[in-house]
Amino acid sequence: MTPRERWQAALEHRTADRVPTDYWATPEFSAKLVRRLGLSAKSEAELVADLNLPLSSNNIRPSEGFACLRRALAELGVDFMVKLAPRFAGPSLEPDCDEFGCRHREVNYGAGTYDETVSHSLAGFESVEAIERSYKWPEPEWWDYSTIAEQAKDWAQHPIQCGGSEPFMVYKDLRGEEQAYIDLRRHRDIVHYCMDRLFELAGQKTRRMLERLPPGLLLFCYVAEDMGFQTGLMISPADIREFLLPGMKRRVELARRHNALVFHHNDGAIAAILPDLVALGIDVLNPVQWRASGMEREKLKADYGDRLVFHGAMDNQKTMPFGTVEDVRREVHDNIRLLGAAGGYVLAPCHNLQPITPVDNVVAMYETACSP
Amino acid sequence: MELLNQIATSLQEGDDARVGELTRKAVAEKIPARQILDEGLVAGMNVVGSLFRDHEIFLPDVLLAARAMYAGLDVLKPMLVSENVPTAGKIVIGTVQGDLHDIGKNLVGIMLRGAGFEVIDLGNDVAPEKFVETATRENAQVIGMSALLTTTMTGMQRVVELLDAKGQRGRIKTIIGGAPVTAEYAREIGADAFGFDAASAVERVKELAAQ
Repeated sequence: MTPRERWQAALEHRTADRVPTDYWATPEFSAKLVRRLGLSAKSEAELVADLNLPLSSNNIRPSEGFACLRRALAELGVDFMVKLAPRFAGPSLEPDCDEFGCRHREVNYGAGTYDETVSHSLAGFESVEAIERSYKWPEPEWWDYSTIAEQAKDWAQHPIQCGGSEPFMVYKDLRGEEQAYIDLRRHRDIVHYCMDRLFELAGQKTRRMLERLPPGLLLFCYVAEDMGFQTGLMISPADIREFLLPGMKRRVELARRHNALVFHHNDGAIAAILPDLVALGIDVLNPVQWRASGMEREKLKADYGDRLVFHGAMDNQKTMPFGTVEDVRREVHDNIRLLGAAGGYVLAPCHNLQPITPVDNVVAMYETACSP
Repeated sequence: MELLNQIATSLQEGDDARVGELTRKAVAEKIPARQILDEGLVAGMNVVGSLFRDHEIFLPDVLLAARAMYAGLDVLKPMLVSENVPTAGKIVIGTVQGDLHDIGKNLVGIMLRGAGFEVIDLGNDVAPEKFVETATRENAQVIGMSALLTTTMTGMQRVVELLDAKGQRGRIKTIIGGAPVTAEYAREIGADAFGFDAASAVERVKELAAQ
């Protein structure tokens, strides 16, 4: 079976020859994996640099690191999702700044770096009028969509991810994290205004991408938002319903109009809002962080198994980075049994694999998934 | 006392201006600073902590309550010094190297201040050496470390090892917390305590400081 056929079976709640699998990792981990499989003579740092090139360029002219990663995943039998992205072609940006004007800094954590936002373009604004007067929002025309079809052309046998939205994450960058949460109490008008702009931008970009793809692909839109922490929701169900769900609903409808499915990423303990998300029409739920409160696999499968496909669930807080190969194998079996009964499950790490994760654990994860 | 109840209620509502104003009023009425702190600010913050734990309020409410707590503490700080209120102890806190996620650490910091601790907040992305040097120089009893990321939480172990190497382990205690951190991990790396949430972190720090 092809990767796409395995995903298709999971989506239709049928069992395939085996559970479909997917891959999420930081560039640092991917570089280790490529080196371990002996696929490149480049150093880890060089491979990381390759993998950090924009997707729009790696998809068309794969760098050595990018090509080797895809070869590594094929060797491990991973049914990976292919992700498409338009090329940024807007006004020239300040050094280390993104299209929203937020400055980023690489923060070294020892085994690699994370890109963190360290200045916030809309910090300090007290009114919508003040923002409108002086802030220049990015426009969908700042991206070049002309290569989207070409990026997808060799990948009809894989699931393809194209567009989507995660506006509150951007909003936190724009305002600063604490201020963004406080705005939900003190500046609700600013939250509404910015979220409308961000949902609209994401929608315009997604539409332009989807319109350029030929029919017949297995497409997903990534409609995401992080609402949970370890034991519950960070923001109230009432706020989620007011600020997030209406915009997400529009993005779900856009996906439907283009025959795309909805891949919903939402970290942490989100059980309290899951009924709303299911009603919204999400198709795939990621990352299934089952160690978080109320996210027990048995319960999720019993309550939503007929309406949702689960994606992820290989625990990234404990099992993958700190567990043994045996722990990993056991978790693969548990996940297939608890989440994959009669299909409906794509096995993947929940969140990006981090470079402290033993490569052996990851190899064991895919080996076990391929021949349980 | 009615005024102190009002302070607690305004703090729960996240009304920083009102908490500042009521705290000044309490000071003017010659209520001892320690009593204003315990029966007003800390009493209010304790309710906030338990409502948050029960998912009846959410992160925005807790952040606003913390702001209000600061507003009250700013007023009280000089009184606490002039009344010679003994501190509960001294603690150095920060997020570990490579980790910029500090909302949890900030909440623990404000709760510790409320509990009468002198808190030296080193901010985020703090090198192991800096934790140890500061705690040694400042004669702190406890180092509190926070991490959101699995990759950075391993930095906690380096602080424990460094304390060991400097012969300070045991004299300076360690407490760790953050989403991926567990009691089991604390035991594994030899940290002295684990804080499940801000309220329990304060309880553990009290125990450590009393040892």
